[in-house]
Amino acid sequence: MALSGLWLSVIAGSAIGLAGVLAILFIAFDLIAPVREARNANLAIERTCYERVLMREPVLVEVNVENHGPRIDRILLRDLPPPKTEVVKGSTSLFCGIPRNGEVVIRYELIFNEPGDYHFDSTAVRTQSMFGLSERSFSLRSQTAVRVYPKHLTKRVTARPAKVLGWSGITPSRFKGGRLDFVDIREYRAGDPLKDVNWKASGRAGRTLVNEWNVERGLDSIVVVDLSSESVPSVRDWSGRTDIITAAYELVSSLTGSGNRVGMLIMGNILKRTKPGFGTKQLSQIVEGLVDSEVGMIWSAEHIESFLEMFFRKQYRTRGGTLFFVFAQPSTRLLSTLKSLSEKGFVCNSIMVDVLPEEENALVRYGILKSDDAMFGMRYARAEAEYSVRILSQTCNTFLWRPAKGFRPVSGVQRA
Amino acid sequence: MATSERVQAGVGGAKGLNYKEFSAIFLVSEIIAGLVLRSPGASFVMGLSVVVLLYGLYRVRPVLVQLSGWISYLPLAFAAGEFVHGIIPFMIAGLYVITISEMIAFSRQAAFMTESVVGVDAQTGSLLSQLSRVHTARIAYFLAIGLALIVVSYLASSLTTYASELVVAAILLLLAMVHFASK
Repeated sequence: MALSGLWLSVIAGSAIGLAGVLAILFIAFDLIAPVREARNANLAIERTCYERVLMREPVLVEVNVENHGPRIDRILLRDLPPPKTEVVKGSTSLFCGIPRNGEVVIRYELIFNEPGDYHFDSTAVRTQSMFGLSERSFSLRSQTAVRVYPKHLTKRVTARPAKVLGWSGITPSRFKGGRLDFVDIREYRAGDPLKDVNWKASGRAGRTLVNEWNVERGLDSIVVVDLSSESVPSVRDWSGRTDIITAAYELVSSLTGSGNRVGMLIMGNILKRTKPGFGTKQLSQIVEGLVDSEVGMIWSAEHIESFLEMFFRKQYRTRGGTLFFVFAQPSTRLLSTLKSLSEKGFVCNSIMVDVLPEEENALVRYGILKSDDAMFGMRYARAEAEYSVRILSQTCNTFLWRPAKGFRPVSGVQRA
Repeated sequence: MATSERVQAGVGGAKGLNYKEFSAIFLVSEIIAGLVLRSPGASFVMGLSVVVLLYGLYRVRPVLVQLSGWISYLPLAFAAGEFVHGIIPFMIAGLYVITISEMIAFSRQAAFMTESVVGVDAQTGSLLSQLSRVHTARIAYFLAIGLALIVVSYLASSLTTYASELVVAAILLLLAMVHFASK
């Protein structure tokens, strides 16, 4: 263009095209050396980040880019975090120059909004000449996987006694020293703990006597998490899965922490089941299952009963097993399953996760509803939730779980 | 792993004029040129240039920003021609549109890399400032060579005919290119 301007100036005898001289000078300044160098860009990339993190905790991500080729005058780097993450500090992009054998770092903090596996893949790169007239775009791959775990939002329930939320079961608690009722005084035997010695009685009798207690009994429980699509509300990127998983995690954590035997069944796209067991190892196995869970319709609530029988046998009925159902909104399938299990003698407990405030926030945030409309809609949603609670309370004890507030009993059938 | 304190919210990027200030300077010069020329055609071209500039800034397209500069080249040159005669207004206008549109495009790109985030860390800000300094130095070098070219062309034009000015300019251009390439 600049050359044609000059040519026109010559043939027309006019000074109009003289700016072409400066344009050529500008292009020459920009392109002569850097073009060759930009094409030979030899970049190495490495991303560092914790591999196991907690949901909604800021995580520092650093992307190191090293230039082993000639100097790059101008480079635009943009790291691409996985979906459902939010950058809370720093920048995912960098605009700079990198000398030969130089290194630059993209550094930012992000939070993961949902438990699960997240994969960082590539960083977009644009090398440019100094005035940006020449450009080359490509991407550098640096695969990093981050596993995000649910976070305990509510203050932990005290570890003793081996009862949670007011229930007690018949399984001997694994919690050592668990005591419920005083039974008798007996002779000291080797191995008895010192704290059980009844010093007053021993003084009177002239021999060592110890107190005897009934062994504490805990629950033999199965936590059923309903992640079928019809039970999990979602608005674009937001879904109730996060809160359901957090509630289930808090419930399992308090159950295992109090010495109860806990198993788990997760319905959804992937069926996850964990046989009942005790302790922190069991808890971590259950949490891994929760992290891997997916919302979907493949395994819906209607399959719960058959899976309970298949995996955990009928012993649960005879041993007085307790079932906990964790869900956001009960589907008709779940309600009929609950009724059926309750009639067969299982002690059923419902944990209804209150996701309505989060759902309202999401609707307003994405501009689907205005704030006033959302308030109007919330009245209907609350009425629907109250109706669900009424139906549920005919068959089971019902609890409401709210983030950071924990479990609150809303109704019960007094059958625990 | 570095601590999170290394990421500091609100640390600034490149110092100096930003794209809004450069754009304001450019728009003021366009308005002045429009007032000097008082021609509907010139006003239309200026308007077109402003639209292209705003769209280029909005979409962060350096090419459109440069194009906006070139659209306004002729009105600016003719407006400058009202005060200075000969080849000088054309060369000055050319130098002006190239320089200002490059500065706008660069500062817009730099701002875009940092505006949509919650703050950049000190190291990122420092790298951006460093790049900005190098870019300004390169622009200043271009300006110096461009001005020298204009002065020499002007002197040459007082000695010989218009055609020979172009020859002189071309020779000087080649010299500049050879000089730059050998660096």
